[in-house]
Amino acid sequence: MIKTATRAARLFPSLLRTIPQSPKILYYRGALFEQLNQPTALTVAIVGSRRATRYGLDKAYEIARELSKYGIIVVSGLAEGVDAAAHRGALDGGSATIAVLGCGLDINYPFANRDLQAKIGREGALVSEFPPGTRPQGKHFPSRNRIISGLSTGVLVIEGAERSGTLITADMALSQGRDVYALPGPAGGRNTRTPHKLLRAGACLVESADDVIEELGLPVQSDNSCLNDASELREPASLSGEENAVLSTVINVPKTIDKIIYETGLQCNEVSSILVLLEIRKFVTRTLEGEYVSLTRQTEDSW
Amino acid sequence: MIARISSASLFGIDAMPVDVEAHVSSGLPNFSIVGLPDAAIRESRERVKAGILNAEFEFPKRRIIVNLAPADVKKEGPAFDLPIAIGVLATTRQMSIRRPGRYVIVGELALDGSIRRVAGVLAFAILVRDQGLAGLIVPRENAAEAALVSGVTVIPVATLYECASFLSCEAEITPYVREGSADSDFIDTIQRDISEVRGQQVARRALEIAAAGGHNLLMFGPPGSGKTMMAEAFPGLLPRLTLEEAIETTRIYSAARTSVTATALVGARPFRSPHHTISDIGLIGGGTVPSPGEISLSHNGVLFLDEVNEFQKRVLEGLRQPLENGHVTISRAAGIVRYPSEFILLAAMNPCPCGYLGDPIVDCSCTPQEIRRYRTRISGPLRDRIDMHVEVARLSRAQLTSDSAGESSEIVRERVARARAVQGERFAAVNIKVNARMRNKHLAKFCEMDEHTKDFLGHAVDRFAMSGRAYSKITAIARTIADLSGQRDISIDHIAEALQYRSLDREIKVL
Repeated sequence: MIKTATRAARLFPSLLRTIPQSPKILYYRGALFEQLNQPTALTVAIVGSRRATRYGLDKAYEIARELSKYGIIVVSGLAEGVDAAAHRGALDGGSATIAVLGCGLDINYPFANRDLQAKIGREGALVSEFPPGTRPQGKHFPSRNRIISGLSTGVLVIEGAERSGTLITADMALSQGRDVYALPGPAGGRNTRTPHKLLRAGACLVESADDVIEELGLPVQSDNSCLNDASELREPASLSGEENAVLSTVINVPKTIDKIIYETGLQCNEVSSILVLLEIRKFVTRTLEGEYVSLTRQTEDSW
Repeated sequence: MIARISSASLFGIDAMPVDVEAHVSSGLPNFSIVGLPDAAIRESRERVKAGILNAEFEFPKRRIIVNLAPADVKKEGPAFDLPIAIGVLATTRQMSIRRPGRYVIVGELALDGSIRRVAGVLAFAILVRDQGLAGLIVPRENAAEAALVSGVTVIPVATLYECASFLSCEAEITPYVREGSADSDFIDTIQRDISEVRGQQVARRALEIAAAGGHNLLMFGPPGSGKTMMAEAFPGLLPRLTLEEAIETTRIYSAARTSVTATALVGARPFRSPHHTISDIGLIGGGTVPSPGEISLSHNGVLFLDEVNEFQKRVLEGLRQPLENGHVTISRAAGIVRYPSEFILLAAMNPCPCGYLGDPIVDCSCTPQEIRRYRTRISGPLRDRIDMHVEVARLSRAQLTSDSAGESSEIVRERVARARAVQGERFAAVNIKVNARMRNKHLAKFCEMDEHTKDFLGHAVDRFAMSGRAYSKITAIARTIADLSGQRDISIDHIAEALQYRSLDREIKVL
């Protein structure tokens, strides 16, 4: 059921009322939307690249999950990449999440996230300023971005290339007077241009959910630290010597098979089959670029 | 009086015997040719007239009729000029044919009475051999090609006069004999050695597997990553052509009216790389008078389609039948012809629309959605016929200079030849040569795996959400990998490596 809330309505999020060019009407689905004006409701946006790295995706998921455990509502834009990871993390963390769309709520866009969209509609809330039936258009997305930041007390930027939509969201957040947090990445990386630019300009450096919570002025309870990746790696006792050698070359750094061959000194056919074996057992994953990188978060998958 | 001369016409890559009958009668001077001639043959009247006059014979001012029998099959090409001219001379008693035995005569006449080369001579020679005829009279330039077929008396002629005096036994012409055996004609120089390719171990290994098992391969990588270079090196990894294969391929080249018409045996495996603007007829073959397309010109060799998804969809769809059957059947008004087309398909494409995905220097500007759409633009049925996919990364300058040269083509080719020998032995009883041609019944018979290995493959296919077809492709590739390593049984390692070469089967997921 798609419902509407005008700017004058009591339900209309008060945070969003304060921004320039606040939308006159919002379409929404999901009960969570109606709780946004409760004094305990705290919202943080997580935005980033659609073509994020494994590191960015893992961080988005992990931080969203921790924030969600803390009861903070994660807002994002349901795009592929960081947005989807943040929504998933938030759902897994137990609290709900809000997705702001650039099209009508009855349109599945992006199609790849249709399941996620349905789940957020049930457990969280879907929000759009466009009436049902509106097709996604390029010009919709910058205005959607202003709602994402407008709904949130702070915006966390995970990854983004130069001149990205992420940067537009961050600019909107600043002009709306929101806090901007950014996650640092490796120096010189394509996807670290936007967060690093923001950090240089004075954004708050965030390494974990605790940093965000602290910035929001809330007491830190969890003992999570962002640097526990290595300990999250599954106990590699079941791996052979060669398998360990291959795995150790790709911890957190995606590499091409050729590079792994070069670094391990193993034969091409050995490395190829070891990588597939590791992938099946969820130690590594293959990126869009055809590179391999370690997975830090997985469940035992035996065959 | 009627003169009857034996000749032949090309039909696909086969020759068909044609009798040229000439009859002269009184009446108004006229010269007509019947028996479904094409434009080139109708024009032959003018060439024959001029050729006869310039060879110091007389052209009769009477009514001449030439019939090409059988009369119900369309005939084409200028190869009938010479038999028609001989027929006219014989029927007007300017010469008499005293030479015993039936000779098949082909040749195009020049206006001065000399004889020019024609297409399809190899097929004519095979016809002469198969029918046990006395010999073949060919233009001198075609003699070497005709003599590839052993046991055929090849009489090379340069002029109409020479031909006439040979047939009337006024002169003798020594039959053309090749120096040395046909094998010595193999000009099998490796165009590009695989050792020139720096780095790219995975891609090189994939090429080796593709060569060993006859698998079709798709490479994707950014511009400048060396896809074309590797494709060019690929024919050099395949085993040498056998004499039988060389003659088959030469026959196609001989029948194709292209500039590549063979003067001698095609010794190296063909490598064809048509541009993506090619038409379906250009690629598959056809035309009002059917002629072989690029797929047949790559018979026993390699067809390389660079920028494969830039080709017209209709053109690529046409590849399905030939890829499955190893030949293409073309039906036209002129008849139905069948061209062999057993080739290995190498295809290349960029990894994404902008081309820079995975490039170490230039950033890719594509969204996941665009990449997904781009990759699925190769039609499913064609994708199903491509066994292996491999990523070719662009190397940084440091990698290019630091990597030492890899193995030479000769070394790889030896391993490939050994693996092919294993396959030859295995498939002795069935009519296939390489692993890539195995059907499901063959897979069950020749690719037995123990339970453990089978479980693993099933699990992997589930895990990567692959299709049923992928299952059999992976089995076939694993079979080739095992053959290359000289092992009888397919092991988990072979399967795992094979999975590496099916990256397109996996869903393109961002998370």
